[in-house]
Amino acid sequence: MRRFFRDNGIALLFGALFLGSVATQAVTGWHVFNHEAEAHGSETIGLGRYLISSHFGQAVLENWQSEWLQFLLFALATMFVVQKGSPESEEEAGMSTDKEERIGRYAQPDSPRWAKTGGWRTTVYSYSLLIVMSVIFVGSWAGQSVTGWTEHNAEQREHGQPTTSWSGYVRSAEFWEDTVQNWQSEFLVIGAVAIFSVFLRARHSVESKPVGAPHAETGTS
Amino acid sequence: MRHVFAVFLAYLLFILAGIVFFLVVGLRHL
Repeated sequence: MRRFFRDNGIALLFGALFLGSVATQAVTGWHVFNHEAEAHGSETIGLGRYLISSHFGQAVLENWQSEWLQFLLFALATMFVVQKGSPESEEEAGMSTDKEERIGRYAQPDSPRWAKTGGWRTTVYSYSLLIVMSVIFVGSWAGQSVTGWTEHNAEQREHGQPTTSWSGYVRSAEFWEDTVQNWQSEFLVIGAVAIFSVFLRARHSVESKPVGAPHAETGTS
Repeated sequence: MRHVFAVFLAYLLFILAGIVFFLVVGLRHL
């Protein structure tokens, strides 16, 4: 049991922070929802009903999608472009060899099974993190679009305005404002961390180069 | 590694279930 907690420290710490934050978001979002309902003279709802509402779903998923997009694009970008001096960048962009990746005939006895087999399994496994992140990004963005659409139409009805189709909603300024307001902050942080980590240090952290590493040294952490 | 894989699976299933859940929530009003 102690080993379970020690070996999973990062996942458990951030899992707990996530649960605390999403619970707080649920309670505060429920209050906001009911304040608005009262202001419009509509019925208020219980917390249980709020948890299965589009209001809550949209608020959760519009933040999810941007995080997955951020990690996905960062993983993709580091294949093709470099940042001189950054610990998160390769020295030179370019494709690695099978030997460097330890796949196919270069696999070790304890390499993952699909890394050893070669063929389509090794190709799929080679990009499995990107595949999973893409599925989650597309899924959560789609979820944001349908919950946002439902929420938008509920508001339209409340104001006696005409409702819109899903395809109309995903072409609306409202949907794109909700989307890109999350993207902009993600992209700024990715770019900033890449360039900050060239000249600044976080001793003991994998996000940093060794404190004494020259600014020009790329790809060490 | 089984105790680490269990956490990996929990994360993956939780995230996928969350997405499917809210997709259903959004589409339920159709």
